[in-house]
Amino acid sequence: MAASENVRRAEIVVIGAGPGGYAAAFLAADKGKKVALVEDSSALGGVCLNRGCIPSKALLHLAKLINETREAREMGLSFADPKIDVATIRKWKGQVVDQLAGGVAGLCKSRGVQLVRGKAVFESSARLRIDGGDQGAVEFDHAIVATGSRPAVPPAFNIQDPRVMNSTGALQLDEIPGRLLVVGGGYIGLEMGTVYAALGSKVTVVELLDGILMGADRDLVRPLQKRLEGKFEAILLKTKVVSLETKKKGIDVGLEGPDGQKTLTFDRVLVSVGRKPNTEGLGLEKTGVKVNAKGFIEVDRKQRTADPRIWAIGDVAGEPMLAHKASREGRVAVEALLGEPAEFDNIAIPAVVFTDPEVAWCGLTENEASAQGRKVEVARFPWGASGRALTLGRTEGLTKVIYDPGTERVLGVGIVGVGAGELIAEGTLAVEMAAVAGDLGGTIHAHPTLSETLMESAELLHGTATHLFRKKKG
Amino acid sequence: MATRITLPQLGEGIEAGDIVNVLVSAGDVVRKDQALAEIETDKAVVEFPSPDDGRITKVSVKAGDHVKVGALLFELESGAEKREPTESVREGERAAKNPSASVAADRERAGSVAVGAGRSAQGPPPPVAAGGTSEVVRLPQLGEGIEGGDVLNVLVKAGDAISKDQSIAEVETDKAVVEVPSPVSGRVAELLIKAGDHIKVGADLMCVDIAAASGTAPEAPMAAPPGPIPAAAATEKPAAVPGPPRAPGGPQPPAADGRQVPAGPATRRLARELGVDLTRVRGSATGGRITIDDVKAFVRSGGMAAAAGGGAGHVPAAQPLPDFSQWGPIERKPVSSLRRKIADQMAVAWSAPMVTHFDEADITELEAFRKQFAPRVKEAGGALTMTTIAIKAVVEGLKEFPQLNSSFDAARGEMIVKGYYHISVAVDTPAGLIVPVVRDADKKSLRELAIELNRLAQRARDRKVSVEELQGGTFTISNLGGIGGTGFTPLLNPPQVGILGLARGSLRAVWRDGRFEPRLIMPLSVTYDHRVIDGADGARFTRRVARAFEEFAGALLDV
Ligand SMILES: Cc1cc2nc3c(=O)[nH]c(=O)nc-3n(C[C@H](O)[C@H](O)[C@H](O)COP(=O)(O)OP(=O)(O)OC[C@H]3O[C@@H](n4cnc5c(N)ncnc54)[C@H](O)[C@@H]3O)c2cc1C
Repeated sequence: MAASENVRRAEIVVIGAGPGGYAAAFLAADKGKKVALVEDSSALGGVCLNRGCIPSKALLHLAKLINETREAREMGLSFADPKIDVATIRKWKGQVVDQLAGGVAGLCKSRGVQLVRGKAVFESSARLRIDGGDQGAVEFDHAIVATGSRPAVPPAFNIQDPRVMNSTGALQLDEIPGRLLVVGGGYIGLEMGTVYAALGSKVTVVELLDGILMGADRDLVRPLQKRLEGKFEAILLKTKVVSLETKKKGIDVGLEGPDGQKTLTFDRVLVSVGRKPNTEGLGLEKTGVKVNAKGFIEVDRKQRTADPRIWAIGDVAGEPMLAHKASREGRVAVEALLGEPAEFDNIAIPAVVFTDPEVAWCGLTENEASAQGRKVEVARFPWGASGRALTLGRTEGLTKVIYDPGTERVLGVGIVGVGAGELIAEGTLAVEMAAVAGDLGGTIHAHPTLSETLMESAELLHGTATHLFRKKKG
Repeated sequence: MATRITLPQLGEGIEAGDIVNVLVSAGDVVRKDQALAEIETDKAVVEFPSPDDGRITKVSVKAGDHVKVGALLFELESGAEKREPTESVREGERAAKNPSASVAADRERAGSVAVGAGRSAQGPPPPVAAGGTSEVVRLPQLGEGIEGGDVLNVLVKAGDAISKDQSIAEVETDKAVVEVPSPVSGRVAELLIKAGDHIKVGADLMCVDIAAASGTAPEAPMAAPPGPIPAAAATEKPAAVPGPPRAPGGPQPPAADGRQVPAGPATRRLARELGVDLTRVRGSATGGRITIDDVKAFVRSGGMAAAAGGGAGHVPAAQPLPDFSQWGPIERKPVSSLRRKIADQMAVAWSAPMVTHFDEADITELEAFRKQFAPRVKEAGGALTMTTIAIKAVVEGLKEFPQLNSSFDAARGEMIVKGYYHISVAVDTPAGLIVPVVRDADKKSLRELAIELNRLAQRARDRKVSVEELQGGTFTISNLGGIGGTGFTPLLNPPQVGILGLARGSLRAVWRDGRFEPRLIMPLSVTYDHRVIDGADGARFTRRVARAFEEFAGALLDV
């Protein structure tokens, strides 16, 4: 009886208030629809705001400050070793997160998006049950599923010891362990390793494959790897964790690598081996939605699922699991379901690894080109020739542009170096707009900035970059 | 013996193409089926394969040229010659103190003046043993004070045919990333390095079988600009291009996801809005980039109608209108955007080759049934109209004749048969014709249809239907019976291929069971797209729908 009184109606219901979900809900509301946004957790903003992009970048900023004060010594500027007050760091990080999450709540209110607290479960293609929180149901014309993803923790790591953490645990910063093992050489592991190393932990990374950041081209990873080798205690490649044992003094980790088997002891272990989409327990079997073998919801280019009333966006709708992909998909879904000619037709989804140096790329990578057997031309501009990089004392960077040899169209851009994450924006625009080398080279870039390296990469294709005297291809 | 290679017929109706890219230069040794050039026609970009093994002696075209079928593209000295010992740069290079280094040094010297020992040498041809010789290629000096580097990428693999100067590996030194060129042409017999290796100057990189791909050809004129690496690269093409040369005129392979179309996001969106297939639009900006103006120009030029009608119908550009005021007073009134949309849609519809078939249905019993139940449906908020009943009748017909529930993809030569029955219903509103869609009509009861249609029609009159409710229809019904008429030829609602028109029923004397009886007869007509539906099927479908009306009341017994 009580439940039936609590039946809400919405033209569009969005499940999950992450960067995908709230972007979709806001746009739908701006377009005059009656929108309900269902969120299970007490804070809005999803993984990204609460336990992903934002807190990790806040901590990485501190890591950068610490490292820069150390590096400044060579330039004649010495600081005393930093005093690290973990409690205050936690508080500051919390404030950043709270401010953003509060902002999302405020935007919901001002746009008239009805916020429904609780876990949404489909009862049919037209009705959701809400468990907990605002208990009841929501009846809808359309639903957009934006339930995101969670850390994948293989059962072997599930040893019920709080010292074995996932990314969420690592971001809580309970303590600064003496020795930290990061399992997995992907971007999350390397970013968190960078944070802990700067705060004083001795960090070891183990990776099963024979390289870190396997999605990126090797020439972009190399400068990062060199630097991390200096900051971390070890990066163990082709190495597998074979056992985990809780001991009083730490976690005994059995490792098996090219040099055989050994057991090392760590104060904490961060497991960052991937993420899993949140599709279980959602009642999707009561709808026509199809889920693939990996648990992702299958969608088409308009973000439609196999059920005509239901759409899906963000991490739950497939790789790459990135916040900006989620929010673009959110906008596409809303526009497409309102009958506008929207499609997720993007050519370039930028990927940024916020380590030091940063690694960023978009569009076609060289790895992909060679896997496809596609002929490309690559112009590389090493930052040793960039005045700006010299003034920063950071010349290990590299900017490269991947072109189509016939039309000179920019197919992909890869950058490693400080600020690569900001620089990639121009590359993304170039790829998306189908710019050609002459467009990049013929655009004036402010001097001295790192963005000039993009311009010069374009000039290199024609064999005449101002600051680099080198011939590409004869 | 030089063979003249001319532009062949690339496909039906294609008379010319644009050279997008020349993939070889004079002097290159090529193999049969190796791509020599990329040619763009108004259909696709095709790679143009070499008809034979041999050596290119002349290149008569350059990127950007517009060539007609029959035009001379290349001259090829074919197969036989390749057995003869040909000039090799190897001897010349050996003469130099640091052979391969000279090539590499050239590369470090800027620009197009890539001369030096490697390129200019045309020493006496070395005897080539019948079985072929192989040579070990070593890492040349990469620069002053550089002793070696890390292999980043190996760009060839065992079995590849490579040409001289083709990059074989990228090596990272502490100064820069350098591409190591091959000093010889041939076939890679064995690779001796892999990515990640640290190698020193002089280290063995690979074994090359020299005879395998014939000797190195004489160099192109020195002024030749640095071009894309030609020749054997073709063997690295994706597996999508197996053995035989790709059929000329065939589609460009990786375009499946539309990635290849050079157009920015706003342009792509406009194209979707206008239903323009961007692969058919010619880009006017650098690199062939398609601009918003290009898309608009394409639509204006009637390219759309050609696309929709498979080239059959062509909407002529509007003719200039005379000054009507010379014959009397006139008033110019803006038309609504709805009217303009209707006009566009009708013009597109007109371009399909269509046929209208007429029939009649005896609806005497049906009308009695309708009158009997109309009040009950009305109570439920619906209107049991002939249109509602027609939805049921049409669905029955469509189930038996799925080709009427389809669309024609002329570009791909496919018929898209829909597995759902979304019926569009023409609604006469004060603003003009609006055609909302009743979804999944096959799954709904007559009562549900009556309620839904009533609601939709009302919303259409109030201009409250959403865009979404206007989309996705698979077949249309237009009922003018309420107004009158003895029959009409409804116009298709593209991309649908069929539409049913109902005219006013009237009492007629019908000869039945040996006597004349007053019967209520309704004329109906079906217009169909003759490209996908043959006349006989059109007639059978129409009869089937008429029968559905006639046997409607009886059929209800089985529901
Ligand atoms: C440590 C870390 C760092 C990261 N850094 C970056 C970065 O720098 N840049 C970047 O682009 N991406 C980054 N990401 C990834 C990014 O966080 C995700 O791609 C992004 O959050 C996905 O957004 P989403 O909207 O799909 O889902 P999520 O952000 O996962 O949000 C889903 C929401 O749905 C809610 N929910 C789930 N199920 C239900 C239900 N049944 N009922 C109601 N609510 C439900 C959840 O509580 C959650 O709030 C990072 C991730 C991690 C873990």
